[in-house]
Amino acid sequence: MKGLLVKDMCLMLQRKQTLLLFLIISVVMSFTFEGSFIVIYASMLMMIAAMGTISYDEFDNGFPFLFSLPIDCKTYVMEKYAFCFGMELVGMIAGLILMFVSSMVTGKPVETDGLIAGTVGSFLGMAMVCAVLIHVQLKYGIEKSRLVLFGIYGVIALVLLLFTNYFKAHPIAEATGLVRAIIDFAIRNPALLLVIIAAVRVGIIFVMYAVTVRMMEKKEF
Amino acid sequence: MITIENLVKKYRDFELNVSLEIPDGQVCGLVGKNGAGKSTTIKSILGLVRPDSGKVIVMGKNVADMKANDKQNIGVALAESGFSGYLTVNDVIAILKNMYEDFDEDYFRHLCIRFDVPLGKVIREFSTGMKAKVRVLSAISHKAKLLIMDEPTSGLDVEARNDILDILREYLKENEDCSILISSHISSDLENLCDDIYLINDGKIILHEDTDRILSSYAILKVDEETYGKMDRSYVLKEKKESYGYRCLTDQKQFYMENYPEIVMENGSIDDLILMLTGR
Repeated sequence: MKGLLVKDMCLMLQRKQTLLLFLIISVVMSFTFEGSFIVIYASMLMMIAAMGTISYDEFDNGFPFLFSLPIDCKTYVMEKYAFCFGMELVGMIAGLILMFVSSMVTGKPVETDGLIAGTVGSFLGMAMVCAVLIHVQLKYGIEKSRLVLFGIYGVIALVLLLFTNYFKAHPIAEATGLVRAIIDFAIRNPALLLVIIAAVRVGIIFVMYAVTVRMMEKKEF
Repeated sequence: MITIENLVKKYRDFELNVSLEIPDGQVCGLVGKNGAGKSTTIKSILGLVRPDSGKVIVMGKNVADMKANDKQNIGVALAESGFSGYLTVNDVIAILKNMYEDFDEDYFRHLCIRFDVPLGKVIREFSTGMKAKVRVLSAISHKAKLLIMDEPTSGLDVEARNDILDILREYLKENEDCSILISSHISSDLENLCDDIYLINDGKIILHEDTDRILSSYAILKVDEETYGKMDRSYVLKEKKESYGYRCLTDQKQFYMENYPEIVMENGSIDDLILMLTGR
């Protein structure tokens, strides 16, 4: 695992210019957008950069050699999770620092209410998306995974559109039945709702990990 | 060190069906034309492809049951796969140091300097020969007991090929217990390196012979039609029609030397075996 982490860190550092560009964009964003947007944005950039190491592993038919090293599929997937989540955390911490620094420079106060819950929630949300993307990239490879991702984005857009249309036709204030019950529950127990959402995200990450390991173990190189 | 028993791997238009054995301390060559099944055999040994049936046992363990740690004793150099081209050799050193318990950094650096491998340049900017050297050096720098080399000299010029073969010869000298499986379609590379040779064609092993015996007992007989008609062909393994008559491969050179001294004879080589036994 340590060797793989070193490899991914070396690959990341080969892209110093990209990382520098990300930093500049993040600094500009921290002064342009108010609130915790920069925290999510910076962590997302780092996560995407970390996921790029899968493409480097695949580059020039690299997988057969990689899996002849003393690693197994489980270690490989676990390392990708550790590296991507780690980089996401680095981005998040950098985003928080930028948010506070920009607040001090501009004199605009930082909204601290729910900051921790929001940060943890968005970390888990992005980690969940990352787990899905890692699976798609490893299963379909660089080229095919782009098409698959377009498909996934299409499905997400369709679901959002259906939800929007539904709530346009049935305003939340007039909701009844199950939707009303969920809304009432959320109003009464906001903290518990956040915990449930976080637990669902963690659950999905674990399921994706198990599915990805299984898929890799079946794969031939 | 390696035992393959009735390994079968089926693809849509190709079927591999091989058995072979590499004892401890033996250097074994796997030769055959492109697409004969050499790489699939090697990938099966490494667990990179799963056999449809049969057993592959490496260092006493079934490959399917091998754990990551079991691969500490195996050094691998594959023909078309290596470290990402975006890494430098310095990065490779850092990775190997954290990957293998017995990685010898000084030895690796020493060989890099000796073979002019630049440490700070990204691998994708290397020449083909330089990339091959990095692959082989990575395989031999952690005191592996088993080396698996898939076409390590493929596509290289004579100088780079000799460098690679020198590296392997020196490794063997320093590690007498080490076993090597080396595949190549440039069989002349293997004549001075291997103890025995497996010849693979269309997914099947068609010959297994000691290298010394190939070089001492095999020969190409060049005979005209008349001699061909009257000679004893019991020891002719394969013949080919030529403009002058027939070109015959035998594994009993001595018999023809003694009984047919008039026959033009060429000493056997692995290339002759491939050409005669697998050619059209």
